[in-house]
Amino acid sequence: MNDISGQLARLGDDDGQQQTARLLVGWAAIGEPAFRRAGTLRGLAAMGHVLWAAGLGWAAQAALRSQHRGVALAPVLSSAALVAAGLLLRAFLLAVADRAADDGAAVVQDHLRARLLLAALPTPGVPSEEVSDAALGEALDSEVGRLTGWLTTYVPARRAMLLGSGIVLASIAVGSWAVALVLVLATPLLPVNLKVIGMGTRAAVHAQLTATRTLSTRLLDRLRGLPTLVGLGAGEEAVRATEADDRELAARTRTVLRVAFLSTAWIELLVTVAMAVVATYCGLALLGYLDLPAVPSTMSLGTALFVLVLTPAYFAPARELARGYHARAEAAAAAEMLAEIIHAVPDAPAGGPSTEGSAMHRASRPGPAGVILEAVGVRYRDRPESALEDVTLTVRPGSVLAISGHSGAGKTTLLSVAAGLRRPDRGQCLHTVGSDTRCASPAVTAWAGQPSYLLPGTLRDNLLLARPDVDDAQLTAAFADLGFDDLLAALPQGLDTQVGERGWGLSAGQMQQLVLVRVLIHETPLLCLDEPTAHLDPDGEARVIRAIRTLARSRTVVVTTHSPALLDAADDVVRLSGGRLTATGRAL
Amino acid sequence: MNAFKLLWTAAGRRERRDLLWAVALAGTAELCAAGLLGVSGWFLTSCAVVTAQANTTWSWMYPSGAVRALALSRTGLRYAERLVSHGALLGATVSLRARMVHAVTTVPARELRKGRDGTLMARLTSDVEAVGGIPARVVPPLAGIGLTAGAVVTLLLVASPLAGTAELVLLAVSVAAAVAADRRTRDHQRVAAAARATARTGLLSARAAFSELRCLDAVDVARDQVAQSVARSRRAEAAVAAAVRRARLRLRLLAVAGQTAVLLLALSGPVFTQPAADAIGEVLLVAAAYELMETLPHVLRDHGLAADAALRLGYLANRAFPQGQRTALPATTAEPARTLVAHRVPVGVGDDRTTWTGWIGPRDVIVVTGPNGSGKTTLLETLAGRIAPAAPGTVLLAGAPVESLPAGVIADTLTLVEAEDWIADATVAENLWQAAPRADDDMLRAALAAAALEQLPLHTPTGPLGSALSQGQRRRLAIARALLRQPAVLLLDEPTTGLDGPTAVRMLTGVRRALPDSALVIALPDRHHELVPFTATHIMRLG
Repeated sequence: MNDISGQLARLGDDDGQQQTARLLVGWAAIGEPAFRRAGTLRGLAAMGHVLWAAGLGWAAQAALRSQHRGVALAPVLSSAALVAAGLLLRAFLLAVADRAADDGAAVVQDHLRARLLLAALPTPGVPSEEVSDAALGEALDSEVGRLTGWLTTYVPARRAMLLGSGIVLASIAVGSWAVALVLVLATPLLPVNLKVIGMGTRAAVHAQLTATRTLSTRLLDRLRGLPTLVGLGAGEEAVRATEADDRELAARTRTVLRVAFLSTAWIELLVTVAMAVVATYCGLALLGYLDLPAVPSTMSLGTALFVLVLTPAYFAPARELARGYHARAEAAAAAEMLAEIIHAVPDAPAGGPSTEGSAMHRASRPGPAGVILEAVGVRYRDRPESALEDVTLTVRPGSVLAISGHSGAGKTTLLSVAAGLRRPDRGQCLHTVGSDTRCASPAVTAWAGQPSYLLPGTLRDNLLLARPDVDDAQLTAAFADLGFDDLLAALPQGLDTQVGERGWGLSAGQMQQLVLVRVLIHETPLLCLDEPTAHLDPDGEARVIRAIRTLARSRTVVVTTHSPALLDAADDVVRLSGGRLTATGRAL
Repeated sequence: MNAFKLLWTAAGRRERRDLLWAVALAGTAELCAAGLLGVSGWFLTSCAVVTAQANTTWSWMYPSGAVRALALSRTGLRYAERLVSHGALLGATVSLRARMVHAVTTVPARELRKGRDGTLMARLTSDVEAVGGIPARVVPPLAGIGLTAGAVVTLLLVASPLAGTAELVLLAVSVAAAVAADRRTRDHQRVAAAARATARTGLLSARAAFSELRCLDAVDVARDQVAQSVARSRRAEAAVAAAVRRARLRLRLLAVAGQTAVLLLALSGPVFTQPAADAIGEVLLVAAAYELMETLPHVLRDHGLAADAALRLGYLANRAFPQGQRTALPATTAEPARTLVAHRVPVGVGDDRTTWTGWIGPRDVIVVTGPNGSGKTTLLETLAGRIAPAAPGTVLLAGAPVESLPAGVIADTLTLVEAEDWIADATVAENLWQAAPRADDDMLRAALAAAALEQLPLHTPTGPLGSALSQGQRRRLAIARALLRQPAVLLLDEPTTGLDGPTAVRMLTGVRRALPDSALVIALPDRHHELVPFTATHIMRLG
């Protein structure tokens, strides 16, 4: 199949194209006043061009009058003044216009980035599963930036073109109506051409972006695995595969660019041919060789030069607009990607919006929470079998419940339903706090997952997430109270310890315990821990179990575990197999 | 290594040729564009002069033909230049990326792990593309500006030395101003890039810890932290935009001076007499040169981005194109070695640091136990050559220090399964094929069964980083993959994490049965070593 025809055909029946355009216009509306100002100023800058051309024409006329004797200073000075004034006017108007356009673009991009962040980390609710980390990073990093060209050139360009070309055309008409007529007649050739440019480059940019995304997803995945692949003797294979993808992408892009550039060449051809025609016409008129009906056959040198140098200026805004079309195609492709993320609806919070978000659990100190699961079923997308099937379970307030079972039996799923982080597909999960019973909500829960991560920053920053209102002394005391003072002492910089990307710089066991401390100092009626001792040595395990037993007096604790010691420490143990409860009670 | 050099070294013969063609085409195209304006003005003035003098010998055909020829060649040359330069851009990007990815395979595992999420990816995509963009975005425009300005100044110097000198000075000042402004913007660019990287890292980390944050009611706080980094990068970007605007204004003001000067010098007074047509042509040529000069800040900005990218790529580039003599790779033996020799290998951390001497040969089983942070992982990575040992040359494979061997040679003998090993975002079968590209389904199923994972169908999708599987399933899939390599030495880092006791025993039994003659090195947390269902030849306790 021919690539270009495929691309263009795809463009032809792409209903989404209109939608993307509407989307972009909607986003740009926020910066509209600034863009309007920029367009007007850029249009008015054409006046500077007219003054400059007039100055040149005047100078030429003066030079013609005084052949070989040197031109008198007065006319040269005044024409030079006119040229300088025109150029100055243009320079200042354009500078102010650029500033307005940049400001408008900044407003729009700030707004978009804020919405991206909200989609990535929504409150309330859970980020949509369809949005990948790679796409998000890319969107925040570069996709929003790809709109800059479109916002600063294309959006103001329409207004600038109408105003600027209008001013230039009127000035030319004053000099020579015949030349103005030629230009007006050439104008209808422009829009068709602009459309072709738009189609061609959109296909190119879109193909490139889509392929780049596929390539970069694959590349990112391979790069992550590079140490493993090298260890498996497959490093060279990965290099070859990447290069093959890359070459294919380059070849495809090259084919499409050939079309895109052809349409760009068309507008340049139009401009240059118009200039050649105007130059020839004016030259013949100056020579007096012209003998046409109705068309003026004579012209002064000043006028001829004036209209000649203004001819490219007449087309300049259209060229700018054409360049804007390139930017627009790039922006449209980026917009599709951004819209995917921004419009991905966050999955609804498990307990409904009213129960989450407030710090109601912090206002007073409610007693431990109870958890009631009734006929709970959960099924993940793309998986034929259910993760949980008909699980009914009650956790008494103030007790420690351990969930055991084979790997893949659904322990983590059950825990996240109990925590209120996941809404069951069937059945329901309730939390009881005091006499109050409501849908399960993460607002009454503290959670430590597996694997668990700290955020980049200092250890202190991480702990303050759990309790924003405490000082260093209180944090250190909390470590001691929970029995983790050794852990803090083992870190040379203490609370100032820097945590890198994904907790880099700490061992897995240290990180797990630090996340646990962060969870424990956040006082909630329910504590859900996913394999809290998986990476720990016996000392660490004993420490964690002691802390859990201490806290269980005032809180309810639910843990998943394989550890016999932790199972022994639990009040109740349930066993999962294939998503079903197979045994409950103490004696397992 | 600067951006040009890096690009030139990476580019193939075809890209280099295309780049030179692009320079020639761009230069000629811009000369034609300036010439079109100059010759048109000269032509009109000549027509008027000829008419005034009633000179009948002057033919208008040649100049008018020249105008048309210039017009057509400008269009044609620009089109050709775009095609050629973008061809060079695409080709150079591919070559450069291939070299860089290849270089990445030689970077120590630890360095890779440090930047595996954001930074390495940025190196291989945006940085490579910034350097690869030079053939289209930097070199041809610079050639156009340089050639046009040079030709205009030369012409002026011949026609009117004073005007030529004035323009030479003013154009030189313009270039200097643009370069100075570009220097200033690059500092802002760097701040913006750093802030963007911070924002990205913060965002990805916050998403990894989303459930924790949600329960801590701290999602807003984490989002605000990322938003602050974003705002910081935004401020720096605004500073860049402002600097570029100022640079353009300054260039336009210099253009005012330049155009006024040439007008005055070429036309006025009895001292600088020259034909009126020449004078007008010169004025228009100069105008065209200054118009071109206005694009210089953007070209310099693209060059600056490429230069910064090249700096960041430096450490990879030095690996891809080593300076000086290449060290000869040791000849690979026909038969892969089956024994690893450890001689006084440092083990443990801090006060518990000791050394270990021993052989790891066929059918040996070495169990390494100890609490968290006691150096189990470090020991396994040292034995596998993934990291430089604290004392070099203590681990020998076929008589050579293991850390000096190419990764491919090590892979022939030993396979290390890391604690959180990577799983490709594909299917179970595709992950297994990485280790044995020619294995059939039965062999794959046998490997899965040996790792106690027989219930997992081969077509099961694994999800990004194996997230569609449970922790225990991920661990066992990585082990099954390693079994398919049939390594002489298999090193397993905490293989039982996330597994219940019976499954762990079944898996370890399966591993021994699948590799009866291989040496096994297994790192386990303290109490788990009792799970090992066969006799260990050596148990190493750390900490």
